[in-house]
Amino acid sequence: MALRDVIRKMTKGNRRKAALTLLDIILKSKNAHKLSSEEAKVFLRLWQEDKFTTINGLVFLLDMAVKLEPEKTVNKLNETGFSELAGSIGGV
Amino acid sequence: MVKFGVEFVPYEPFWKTTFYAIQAEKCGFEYIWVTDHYNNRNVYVTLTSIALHTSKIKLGIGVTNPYLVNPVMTAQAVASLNEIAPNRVILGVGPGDKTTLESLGIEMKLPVAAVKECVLIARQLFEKGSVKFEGKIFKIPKARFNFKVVGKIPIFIGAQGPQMLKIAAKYGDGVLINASHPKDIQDAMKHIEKGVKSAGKSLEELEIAAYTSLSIDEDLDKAIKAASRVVAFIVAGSPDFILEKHGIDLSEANEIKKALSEARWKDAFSMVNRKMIDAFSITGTPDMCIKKIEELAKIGVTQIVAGSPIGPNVRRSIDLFSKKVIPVFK
Repeated sequence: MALRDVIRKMTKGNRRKAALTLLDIILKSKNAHKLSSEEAKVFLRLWQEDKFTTINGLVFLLDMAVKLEPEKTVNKLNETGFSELAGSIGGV
Repeated sequence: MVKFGVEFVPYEPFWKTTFYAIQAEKCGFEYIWVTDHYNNRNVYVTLTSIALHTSKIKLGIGVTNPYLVNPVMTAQAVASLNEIAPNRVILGVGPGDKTTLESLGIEMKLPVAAVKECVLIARQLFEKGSVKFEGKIFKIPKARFNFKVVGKIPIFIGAQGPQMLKIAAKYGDGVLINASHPKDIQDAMKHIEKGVKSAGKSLEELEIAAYTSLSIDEDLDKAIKAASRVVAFIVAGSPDFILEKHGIDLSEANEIKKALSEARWKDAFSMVNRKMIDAFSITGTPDMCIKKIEELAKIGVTQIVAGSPIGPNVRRSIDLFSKKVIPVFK
């Protein structure tokens, strides 16, 4: 299933849980330098506007997490019960 | 009522520090203090990013020193930041760190006078837009801003020793005390009271902030483990009389110092014991943190600054602190 469809099907609670999982991967990453200044600005704007649990917000978080920690992101999503989200990562 | 602030050391990219700052504002913290060390990201650039992404949280320079940057330039940077975030900016000034200054070839000359003069110079520039000054350290024949400073910019002074505490109480709008233990705050209060008296003002006019090392988690062991990394450095940098005041074995402290100097980090952190954690941090579960903050508030602390490490997971610890601790004091 396409990534956006997977997110669309998720409950509000699950979107929040997935967003927090991805946030922790991003914030703990030692590869922060891989993020461009423009991406960082989008990240901060989404956070400021509380949009991490929207479809666009979750897609962006997933994109960032994969960029910084590809393997860890897939593993963590599978561990926390978001295997469908992990499986659709190729579509990010 | 106790106010709550959070300290960030900008050693990570700007977006991470700004992320936590936005979170702190959302979570009900009232102050953000950003440290000023030449080897980290610049304090004013970091605070500018934070200012542009927040709307009400107060932004403190926590703290700068009068040696590395001329006070006129410090005042200019602070006044410019105030233009981006009117009435949200606080200048924090302290004597700086002797070792860091020495590594740059700068002598920490007459620290009490230097801090006092820096405060007087900055305040004149904030209030009048110009300054003429003849002091022991700084001589400014004439300096004038080509722009107007809107509103009031409070000045807090970072202090530990008796003289600096007196000066802080006398000339500052607030005092930032680098301490987490009631004994240290109690000692500091004696000097603060003298300073306040000499200025003819009341203690209530002064914000008294405990700039603490804080580590909070529902799991006590995790909180202690995170705190040990910071407390090891505090123990190593504390004079013997401070360690003795807290009943800390000097030989154990020296072992930690030795391990740190040899970059044996794990050894150093594992030697930190509960007595050290208690002396130099607010560490534990939410209930344990509440108990210690209550003790500090009873002595006269009006603001708790949650400093490094904040917790094993900064995001979760900020969240936990805001849900379980802050509401108790509101």
